Amino acid sequence: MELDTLPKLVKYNWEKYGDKKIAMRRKDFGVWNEYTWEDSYQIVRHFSLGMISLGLQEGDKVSIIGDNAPEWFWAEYAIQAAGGIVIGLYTDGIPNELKYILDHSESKFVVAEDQEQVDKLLSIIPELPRLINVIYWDDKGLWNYNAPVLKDFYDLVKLGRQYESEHPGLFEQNVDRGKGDAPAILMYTSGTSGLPKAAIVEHKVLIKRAEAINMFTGLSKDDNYVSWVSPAWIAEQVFGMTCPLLSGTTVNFVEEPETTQVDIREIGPEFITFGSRQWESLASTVQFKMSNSATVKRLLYDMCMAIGYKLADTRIARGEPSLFWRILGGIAYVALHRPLLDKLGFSNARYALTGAGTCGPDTVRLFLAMGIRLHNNYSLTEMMPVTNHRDDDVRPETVGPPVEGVEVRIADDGEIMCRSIYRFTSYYKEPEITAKTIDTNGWIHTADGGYVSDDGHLVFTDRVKDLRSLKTGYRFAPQYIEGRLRFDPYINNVMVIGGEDRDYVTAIIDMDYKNVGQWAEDKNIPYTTYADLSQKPQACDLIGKAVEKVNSYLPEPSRIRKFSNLHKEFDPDEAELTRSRKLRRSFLEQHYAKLIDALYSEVDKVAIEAEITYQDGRKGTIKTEVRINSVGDEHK
Amino acid sequence: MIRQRKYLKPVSESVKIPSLKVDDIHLSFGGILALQGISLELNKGEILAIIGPNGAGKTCILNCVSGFYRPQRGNIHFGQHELTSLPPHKIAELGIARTFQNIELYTGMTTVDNLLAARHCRMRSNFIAGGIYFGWAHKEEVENRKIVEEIVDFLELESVRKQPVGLLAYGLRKRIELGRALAMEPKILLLDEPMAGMNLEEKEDMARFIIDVHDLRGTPILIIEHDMGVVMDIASRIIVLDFGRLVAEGPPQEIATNPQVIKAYLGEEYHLTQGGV
Repeated sequence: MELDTLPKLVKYNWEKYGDKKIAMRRKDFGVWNEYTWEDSYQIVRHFSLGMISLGLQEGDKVSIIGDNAPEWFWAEYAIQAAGGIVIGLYTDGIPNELKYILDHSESKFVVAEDQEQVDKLLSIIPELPRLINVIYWDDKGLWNYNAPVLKDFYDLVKLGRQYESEHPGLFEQNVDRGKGDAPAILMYTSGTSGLPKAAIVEHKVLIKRAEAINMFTGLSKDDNYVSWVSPAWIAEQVFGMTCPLLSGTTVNFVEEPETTQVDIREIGPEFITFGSRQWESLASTVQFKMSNSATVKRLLYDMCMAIGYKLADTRIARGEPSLFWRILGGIAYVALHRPLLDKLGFSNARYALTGAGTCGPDTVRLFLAMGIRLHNNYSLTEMMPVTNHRDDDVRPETVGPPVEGVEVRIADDGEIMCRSIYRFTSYYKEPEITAKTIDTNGWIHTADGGYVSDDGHLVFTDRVKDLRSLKTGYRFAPQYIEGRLRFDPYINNVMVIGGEDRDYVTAIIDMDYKNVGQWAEDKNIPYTTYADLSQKPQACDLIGKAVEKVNSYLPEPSRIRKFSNLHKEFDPDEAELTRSRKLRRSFLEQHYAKLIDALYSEVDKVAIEAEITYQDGRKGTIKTEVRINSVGDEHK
Repeated sequence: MIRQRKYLKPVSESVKIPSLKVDDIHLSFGGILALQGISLELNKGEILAIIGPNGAGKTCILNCVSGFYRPQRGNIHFGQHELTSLPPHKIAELGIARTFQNIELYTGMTTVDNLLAARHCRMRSNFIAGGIYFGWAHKEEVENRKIVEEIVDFLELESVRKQPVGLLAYGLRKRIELGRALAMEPKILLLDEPMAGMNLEEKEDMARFIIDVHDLRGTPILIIEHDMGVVMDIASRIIVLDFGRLVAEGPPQEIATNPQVIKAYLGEEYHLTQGGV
């Protein structure tokens, strides 16, 4: 029998490893709990039957919401075994967003983690007539909830065990009946423009892509993977949900998002995926902590990193470093890089990947200098991945050559087009958009701009519609500049602005509150809140210096002339970012029109009044004054 | 294999929890009368709040119950035990746990160690067995660690598990204080201003933890708190003190409109002008 569905792979691994090998490991109550393939398989089996006894049928949709946990994975495999289709929801989604997706996808069940998610769901259930049950896996705080729609995950496993005695062999029949070209998941794309749309992805696509990835990662059954990126992203669906099924790799789950670093250090994974924003913030943290450490330590860090950079640059240029530099590299490794990697939990890291977005060149170079090859990839919800760095060929400026089975072509207007049989089937309920995205020859129009370098690496520049021209006709790529700015430890996020009616480039900056706050404390600058700190002249100067530094890498016309520190952070709850933390530009340009106008006038301050949305959906207004800063002019 | 809680899980309705009865206690420091004939009762399933202006004697009641002060007159009964003659550690062993207004943790010890220290009164192995750390002592340590970890999970302290509490933020330390009280497996809980000095979010978290403990184990809770919003939301009954006397007692809605209470909190004049309008 061909192993063409995820449940078939689960069954295969169970037959192969049984209770001889650990399938998953989770830190809970302070200790690592292990689940063998036998444990995993039995839970998947009984949960699947439990769901059937509640009324799950082939083709039904089930949404899952929660932090990464074995239950997330088990639920997905179990639902797919019964012929169901899984939708991953973002844990920080507000009730209205959840309602849209649950309604649009016609979900019959939701598997939710805990009280927080259950509360959100209970508030929208009256408007979702199709929804039959909400199943939760962490009962903390839910002891006294008696809404009849609620079911406990493990009660359902018990129910499934009963159901099995009445229907022996049903689960195995279901698994065997599964087909590779049946839909496995509905992936709601993050929607940088408009409402989210759902890409249908089949089992065989997930599996074929995972096979291609395993080929160049060399993932084996003795490796450890830490599941951290949300399975609501296509990246984790392939890297975490499918790759380890093919290789028998152990998947590890951290205790809480806040304990990630400690837990990763305890595992020392060989294979690790973070979102590009996590890699960038990790890079910021390392740099910031080192710049604030004692002089001797800082000197050592600077020296060893200089050696690391030198070696990294030589290798990037495909050169072989001389013996002298290799010896220095060895010393730097012992003195700095090894302990640093140990601290970060990357001692064993053999393959590090980015998911959701690509890392800027500075971040990739920093990790290369530390001895971590950070593999960028270019991925779409519609096709995952399109390109990926190979093991010995990591380059900061590119996103790697196309993955096996994928063709990449650049259209005349600079748009990246890709074609493969391993792509999404169509957008759910949206035949028109599907037809617009996939042309008659099977090419996917990505709406991203880029070019292919001489040696076959794809270079991603920006969304085509986000490439901007200035009044002079000069074209520049805002995302590239933003990536370089975000590398600065004092900058958290930024939107770069320009346009055909604009003479120059400007930026709205969301500073890194923690790092700038720490800096202000060291400098004895008193402040109260983010809004207050962001408008301190000293803080503006600090950010101004960072902008000046990035300007020095840029061609004259695309340099940032003016910027302002926003009075608040960009926030997905206010629809300023997508849930995967990408900027929603057109919305932001509208939302901050007044501020943007001020950036192109002669004023030095502008009053802002904005509506803010709290996490529970309440609204309020905030009034504040924002400074307009010219780059190069320090405040007195 | 499946995540299971042994300690912090719902207990059956039929579990008996003795009532706490304070009967006509008087407490004075020299010429100052701190408590003048206070009587109150705390029963199963109740959250009883004590409110009153500064110096009204709220904390004195808690100190009398937990054995730090000895009232000159009156009795305190917990089930059939008379508490006024018992030393604090005996009272703690009976299942009366408390938190302090000013945090009283071992600042040099980690969160987990602070919680384990509270398990001391539930441990049976002696000094020598603990030193050899073999057999029963070892088993007992593991059991106690499990219970402590349930509390860590319950109060969401995972990220500070191994940090010395002296380095932690104020709100977190307050939470660890509650955790330490829980670690004693209390039959009743006495909380002295658990939300003082917290921001709104921390207060909301703390209120949720208190309600969860109460719902989960049916633990009666005696709480002193200044934040009237919180008191009105979580208390099932409120007692108002002023100058060591009990001026009002009743459910929250009734207390909010009680003229005596308004007088004690806002002054006579306010009361008169408001009443006159």
